[in-house]
Amino acid sequence: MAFLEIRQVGKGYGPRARQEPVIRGIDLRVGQGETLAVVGYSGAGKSTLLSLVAGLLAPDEGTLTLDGRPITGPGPDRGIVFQNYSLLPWFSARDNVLLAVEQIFPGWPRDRQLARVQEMLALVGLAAAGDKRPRELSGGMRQRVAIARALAIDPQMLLLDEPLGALDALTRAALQDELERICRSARKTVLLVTNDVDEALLLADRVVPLSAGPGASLGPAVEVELPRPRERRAVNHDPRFKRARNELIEWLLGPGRRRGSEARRTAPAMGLVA
Amino acid sequence: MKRHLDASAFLLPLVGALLLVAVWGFSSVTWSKNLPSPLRTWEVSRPYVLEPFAKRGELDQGIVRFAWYSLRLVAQGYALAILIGTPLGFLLGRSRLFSRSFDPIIQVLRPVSPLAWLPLGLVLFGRSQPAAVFTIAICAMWPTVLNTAVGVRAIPQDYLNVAAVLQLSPVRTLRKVLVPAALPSMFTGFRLSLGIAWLVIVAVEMLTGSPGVGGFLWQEYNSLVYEHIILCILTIGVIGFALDRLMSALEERFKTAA
Repeated sequence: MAFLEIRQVGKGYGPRARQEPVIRGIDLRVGQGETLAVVGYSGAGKSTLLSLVAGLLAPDEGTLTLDGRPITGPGPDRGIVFQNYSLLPWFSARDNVLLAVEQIFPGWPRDRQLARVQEMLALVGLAAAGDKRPRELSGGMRQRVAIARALAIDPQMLLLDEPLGALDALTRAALQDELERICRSARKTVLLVTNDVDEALLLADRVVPLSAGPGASLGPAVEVELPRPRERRAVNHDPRFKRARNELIEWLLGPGRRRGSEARRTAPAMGLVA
Repeated sequence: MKRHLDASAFLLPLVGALLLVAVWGFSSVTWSKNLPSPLRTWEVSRPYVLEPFAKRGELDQGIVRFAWYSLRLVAQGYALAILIGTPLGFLLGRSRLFSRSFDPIIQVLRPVSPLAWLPLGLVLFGRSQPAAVFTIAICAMWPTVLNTAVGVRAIPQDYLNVAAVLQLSPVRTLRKVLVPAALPSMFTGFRLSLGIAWLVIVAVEMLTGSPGVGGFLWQEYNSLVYEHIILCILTIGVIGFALDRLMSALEERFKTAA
């Protein structure tokens, strides 16, 4: 049985009577230790999907189970990295991570908690920046702190919500390689959502495209057969990378987009009938 | 250029003050014969200013001594306003149910004048001192309540998500997330509340006749010593300004948000 199972999940916002689901009919299985990426359009519902897995939202229909147990709310078994860092600006980088460590390991003595924090900051390459406030850090560094915080609670699963989406292109490219290293050394089950096909292919074992919304649904999965460790400059020329990339883009620009535009075309007509 | 700015920063306020004194002096010799001139005001006020801590009788004391009585009363009322207003603001900001139940009544009570609350305080507590504290507290509370509520409502969902994902207890969420996030707004409320508390004290002292800057002002009006009215007005203004600076310094010190 898969570690994370998403069955026929749909979710919309607003009054139930006239809501259009953001996502619908989502079926997804993520195996233990697997890194799965969902790639799709901005605003298509990727973050909604991730929030459902995180337990921050409840689905309107369908079920989500983690390790056989239904997801009913957020929990320490899932560490989350949000798109906009979500670091608490009144704490230093160290205290942001410490907040998580204190919460998950309240019985530990103080120095052990601090050692854990330091270990996590070192893992993301910020061993020397613990005293800095978030506003004193660059976007890329903030996101590393957020990753350290998510990993510090030793979750079974890591959820990454466009973790590099707010960064400039060059920082983003550099951090993708690093994220690949971090995920590999952390040995977690990872669910990544992103709008960057290359990023998905660089990080994931399997990539699933999400169609344009509203009513977004998943397309056919693409296996990524690139050996690890992967490095961006090297994989760029790999024929397997190019083939997977084309497959995903073909679907996203073809069937994946048409479904959305069909929905948009029919919506006003339905309005006229009503 | 910098020198010029420094000089004008000192000179311009002086020019403004001197102009006001000139208008005052001109008025006192032309259309308002009852208004004491600036010079006369200083002569009559001198013992109160130069011996600011003197106590010659219950209603004849140095100006700093009177101010101290007023400040003590304000401190009590203000402390009460903060102690009640802050939690109330948090409840309003966090709970839709609470907000919908109490927001209308707060909007109705908020504009009520201190002059209207004081008699109710006297009815409730019998004596003038607790009635004064009650009046200050209930008038000064609203900016703290409303600004705290606004600050709490404006906390970004991201921060609340962090608390939810880490499953922080309500107390830890309050201490580590809600209070730091709302603190800038709370301080705006605290500062406005202090300003109101200082406004209210004068009215309250006038009505109750208790010793203090406001009580002294009213008594000297009745004794026809108009010079002291001006002395009191200036004292009230200077102290109010100092309190505001003090709060603004505290605000700077406890600033949390990035």
